[in-house]
Amino acid sequence: MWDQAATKLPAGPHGLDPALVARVQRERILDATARAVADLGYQDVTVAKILDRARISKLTFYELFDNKEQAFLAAYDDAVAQALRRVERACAAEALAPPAQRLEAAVDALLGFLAEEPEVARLCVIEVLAAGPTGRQRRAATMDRLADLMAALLAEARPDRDLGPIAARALVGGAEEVLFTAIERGESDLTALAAEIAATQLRLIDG
Amino acid sequence: MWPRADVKLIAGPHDMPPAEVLEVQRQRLLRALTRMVTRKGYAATTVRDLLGESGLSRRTYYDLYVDKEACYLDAFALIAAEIEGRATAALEEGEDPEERIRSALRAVATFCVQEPDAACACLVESLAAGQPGRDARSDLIGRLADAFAPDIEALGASGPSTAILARATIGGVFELLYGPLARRDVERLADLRDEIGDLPLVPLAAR
Repeated sequence: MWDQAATKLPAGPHGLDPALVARVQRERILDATARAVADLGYQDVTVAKILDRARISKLTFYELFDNKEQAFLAAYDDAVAQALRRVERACAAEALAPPAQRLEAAVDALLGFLAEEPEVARLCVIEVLAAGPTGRQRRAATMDRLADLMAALLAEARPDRDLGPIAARALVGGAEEVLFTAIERGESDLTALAAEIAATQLRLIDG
Repeated sequence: MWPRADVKLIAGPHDMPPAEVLEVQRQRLLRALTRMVTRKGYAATTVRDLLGESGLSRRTYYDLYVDKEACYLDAFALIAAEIEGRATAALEEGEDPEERIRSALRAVATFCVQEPDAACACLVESLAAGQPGRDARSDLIGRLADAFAPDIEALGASGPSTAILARATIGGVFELLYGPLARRDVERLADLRDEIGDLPLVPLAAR
């Protein structure tokens, strides 16, 4: 789970379960990684810069991660898992609604999550593309999942049209490009953008 | 314009003016750069790699560029101008607005098939080349979006949604090209070029 605010552990001896301590420390590292990457860009982040922000020891970092790439990918995976859970929940809540309405709910849920966490949004949408071949693969897997959701909605909405997975991928990619630009420009009002993207894609679905 | 092939300089005495020699060397260097960043990624590519791949001396290199970033951005500008030139020329060819946009995007895909290294250096590695790389890519999409705007408007868009739709349309196709370009899967790129004919590229045009 992506933790909104890094939890503080009590100083000195405590009777906390070591697994719980490790989990809290892991969350602090992931949170610090997102902040470091947002400030400096992936290439210029070092483990030391993450440690500055996480305020944990080097030893603790290396007990949990081998390097900055591993911490970055863990932060990415956690954030994406949480975002996709929100999207799936939003779709499920509208299970009986027409596909266009479910698409709108899904876009709202995704952009709502990103708007709450600007540093995580930057990590997931922009910096992952700078994180080498592994980062690219992780991002491709996320895009595949979003495209699958879109393809299912398209097939349901427009059984008359043969809108295959390529079309779904292009639509998701197009929406992502617009989102990418908004995050780059530091436009905070992602919800207005969400409405705009959803509206244009609805026109496709409604034909 | 983007040089399609390396020009060989004749060894030994010749009467080519020095400025012309430098231009030939610049083109050779930029082509070498696209091969290197495509193979190793922008971050891992060093000036030493560029010297090895191009056969240029360190001195000639630094006569041309202050660093790797300047060299990359110069290559990007030439490749982007080539992509833009081909897309806007193709835009003239279609019978109706939708076909014109399709033809422009097909021209971009054709460039990717013909020059996968240059296209990958431009469309994939720009996202790994920090803020200047991302800005250059965003400007390219913005120029293409401006060129598409009259046709997007002819399809029913107006106001600020014209720019958003144009960006989403271009971004959607860039997303499709991104994965195969990163893998230099030329066969897949050739298939994609043909599939652009069937895509609901412009959401408004889907009927």
